[in-house]
Amino acid sequence: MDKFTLITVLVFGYLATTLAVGLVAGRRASKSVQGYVAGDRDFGLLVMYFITGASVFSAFAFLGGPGWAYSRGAAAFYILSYGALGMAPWYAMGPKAAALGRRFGFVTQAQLLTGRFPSRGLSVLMAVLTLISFVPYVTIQMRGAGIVIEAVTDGRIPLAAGAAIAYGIVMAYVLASGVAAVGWTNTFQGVFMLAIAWTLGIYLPYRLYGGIGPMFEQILASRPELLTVPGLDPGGNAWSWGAYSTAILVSAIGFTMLPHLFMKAFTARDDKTIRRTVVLFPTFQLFLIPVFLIGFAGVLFPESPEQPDFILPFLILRTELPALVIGLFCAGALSASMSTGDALLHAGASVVVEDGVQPFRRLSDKGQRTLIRVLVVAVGALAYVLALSDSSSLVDLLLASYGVICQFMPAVLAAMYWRRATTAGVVSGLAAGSAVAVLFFLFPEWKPLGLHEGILGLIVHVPVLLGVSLAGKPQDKQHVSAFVDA
Amino acid sequence: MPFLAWRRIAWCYHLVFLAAVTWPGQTLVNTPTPFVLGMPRQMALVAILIVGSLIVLWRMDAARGREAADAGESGGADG
Repeated sequence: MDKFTLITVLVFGYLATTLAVGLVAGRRASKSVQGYVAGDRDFGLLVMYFITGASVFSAFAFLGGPGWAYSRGAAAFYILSYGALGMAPWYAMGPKAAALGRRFGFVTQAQLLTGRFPSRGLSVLMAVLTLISFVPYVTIQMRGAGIVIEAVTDGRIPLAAGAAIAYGIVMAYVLASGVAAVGWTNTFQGVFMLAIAWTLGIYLPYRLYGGIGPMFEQILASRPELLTVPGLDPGGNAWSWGAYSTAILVSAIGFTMLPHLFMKAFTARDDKTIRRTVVLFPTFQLFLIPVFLIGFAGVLFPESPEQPDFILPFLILRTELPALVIGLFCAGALSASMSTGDALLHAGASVVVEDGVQPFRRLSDKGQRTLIRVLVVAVGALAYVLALSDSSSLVDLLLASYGVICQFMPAVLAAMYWRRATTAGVVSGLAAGSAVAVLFFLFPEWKPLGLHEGILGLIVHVPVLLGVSLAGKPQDKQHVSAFVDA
Repeated sequence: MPFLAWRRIAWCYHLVFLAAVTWPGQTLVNTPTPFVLGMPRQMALVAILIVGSLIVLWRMDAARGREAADAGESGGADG
């Protein structure tokens, strides 16, 4: 069997296994919306751990992470820094959100908000913002899958076809099994990725430089600018401290507020499971270290890929690794892409139905499930079109979507912890903050000190929320107490 | 140590973590040498902070579990 055939067989074998795991998982879940969207609130520690981990183990980390370390050096350390910071608040917030979910039957983040602040406008605004932030995120994952398949098959399967194959499979099991498939495939894929990342991260520096220490000594001698924070910007000039620091802050806040993280809290069996997941989460974050080592291993490599995001598959194909390892790597990277992509597709479609449609037109359980399925396909198709046309870096796409998501923070904190917050305050704060974030995203040259647009949005958002809330009439005490004292 | 004390420690720890990896805290350690475990010092620092986060959260959760057991709860759905 020649190398290309063996790699293809391995990859398709892996894809078939994923599909089987996803389809079998769905047979256990109930046919209700609770079963399809919130897994009957019965996910144990193992599945919760990998579902949460999949938000780190995405195509962005597997390809974008090495891409940044390779092209922008220490700038990539921001990616390492924010996850643990973003997850820690979940120790308190997660069980509280889950308790509210159980009491009121919430399955999405926006339902939690509109439960406290009844407003159909708010519900739609959340659905729209969630979708705006998810589409680039799914786009990243699809591009990632396409990049990997194109690279390891030496262009024989182009990006467009590779992304279509991988996501065709994702669609199949998400449509059939809902969140149960997402949970079990993520577990299967997570184990796979951990093994691949650590093996390659240690192997490549040894193979190319004789060790991790010698690799960094050589980089320090010839490209010292790559080893000093805040590293380089995309143009190869020094990145600003403002941009580096706010990238960490925005990503940590955005991570805490990820709508699908809330939806996963609603899927947990009990609070202990959520807390244990938070405690164990930093172990997942450490996986980024071997990923960065792979990126740094490419710095002094004599050839360079056409785009930094290709560095990992590029290196693997040029270091004469056995076909078996290449095939396994390819499957690992696809896991990273698909395990995040499936969760997002499912969550995005569920949010649109639960928050964008349900408040206006009550649908039957069956109707909701059907509409979620239609939207999974629609969101997937939209992201696919963008994945083919978009050429920006994977990390830049992710940072842009975090800028929108972090606007949810003041609203969510107000819903769970601030008695004096009002519907008008939350809606106007969210609208003002998002508008500012989008404005600076569209006109980056206006940003002061290179600060991230998400932070600039929050600087406007928080005073508006506080001011409008305090100026208005307080909410009913009993209603507030149901949320704040939960 | 009681849970509430651990919770305070966890808050402080993660605020120090944030300060250490952003401006101006990061400027205090912003030289790659001496390498730690073969890695640039700043990268190793973040790794060490992540391990610290794991330890602090784990100790806090253990304290919570002990107190829940003492109070005669199952520790399951205590929210």
